[in-house]
Amino acid sequence: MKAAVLPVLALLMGLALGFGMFSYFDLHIPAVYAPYLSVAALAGLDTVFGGLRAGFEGRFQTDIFASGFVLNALLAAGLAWFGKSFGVDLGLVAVIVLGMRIFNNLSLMRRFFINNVAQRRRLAQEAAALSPLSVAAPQIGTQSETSRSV
Amino acid sequence: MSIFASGMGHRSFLGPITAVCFMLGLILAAAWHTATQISRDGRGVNRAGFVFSDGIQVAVEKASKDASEITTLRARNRELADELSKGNSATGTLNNELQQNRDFAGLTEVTGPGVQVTLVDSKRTDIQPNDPMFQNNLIHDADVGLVINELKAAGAEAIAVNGQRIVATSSVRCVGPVIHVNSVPSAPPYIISAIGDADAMYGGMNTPNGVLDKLRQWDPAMAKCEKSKLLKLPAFVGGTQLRFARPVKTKSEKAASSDKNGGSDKENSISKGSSSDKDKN
Repeated sequence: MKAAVLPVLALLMGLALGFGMFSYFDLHIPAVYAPYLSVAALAGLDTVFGGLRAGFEGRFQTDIFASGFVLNALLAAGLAWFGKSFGVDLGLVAVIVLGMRIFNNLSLMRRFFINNVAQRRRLAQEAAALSPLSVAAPQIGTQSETSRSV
Repeated sequence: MSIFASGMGHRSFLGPITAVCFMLGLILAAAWHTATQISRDGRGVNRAGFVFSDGIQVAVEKASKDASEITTLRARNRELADELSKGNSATGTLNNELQQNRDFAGLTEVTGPGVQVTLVDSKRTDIQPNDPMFQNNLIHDADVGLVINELKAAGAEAIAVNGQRIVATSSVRCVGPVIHVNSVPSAPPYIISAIGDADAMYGGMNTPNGVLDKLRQWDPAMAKCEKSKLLKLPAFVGGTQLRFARPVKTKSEKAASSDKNGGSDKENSISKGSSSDKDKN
């Protein structure tokens, strides 16, 4: 459980360091590049959620994750730039697609967690039912199970 | 035990994700910082952070950079002039006069007491946009101009509108939906700060049937006037070179230029020095 906090901590540290750096050195990113930057940030966010989901599903591959982070960000920013050069807002396409993927990954993770909790509860109940000491436990368990499904 | 435990054979993926999260934090901070800066500058962003008019953005950024550079250079110029004129009473006097003229011309930042007038468009909804009377709902360039005029009449020594210093060559005019002050667009609320005798200017602003009174007759929320103990007005950053106007020479100057050997005393050399100084500025 403690290890799961690490990415969040790293994210906060990155944010704090970035803000500190930008305000301390008074750095400016020209307003012209702002949209590309936000699209690239969104792509990064999508990659992180995708990586988390893959990790929970046990299919995480570091090379795919790392290359995805860099290339998706570049692709999204490049698409925005490319679209702007002929007047179609392809950056919006990146925003929609990435947004959808983020929602998708979040919902899959939610499903994973909830199923996990339900499964653990069921396992615990079965273990309780098998143990000869407790007799009342399975009845309570089935009751709560039925109320859940209603 | 945690809910992470089952279905997740190993946690090796948390390492790379942590590293990437750190980088993501940096990128997000950059994006956030830029977005706040853009909104603070009050620049138009079409939608979802997409800026289409690249050329304008670049030019606006360059202009604001140049303006701040002008301010620093003028301050430095003043320091150097002060330094140069130290110890010499004649150049000291001339320098004092030069700096006074600069203050008067609005080329320096100034602070002092005064009033702050805030003009905003009316939110009255009982009038339709296609009604000719709807124009009364809006603050026009003429309103801002009248306020400036009234403030000057009441003894204002320095005036700025939304951060633009009003000087002798300043203009206030309507361009489409916004008002340009010194040819720089600015949007409501129009905050007109003036340094001077606060009571006199406050009285001038609240004259019955005066400019603010007329706005208030339509909607009391459109005009606000507050006295302030300490205002700080920015320096004018526009050009000061005269391209067409030339000072009319006085008789003694004419004589001096036609007969250079005429005067051999100190005053002549000083006047030469000061004129060359002026050329440099």
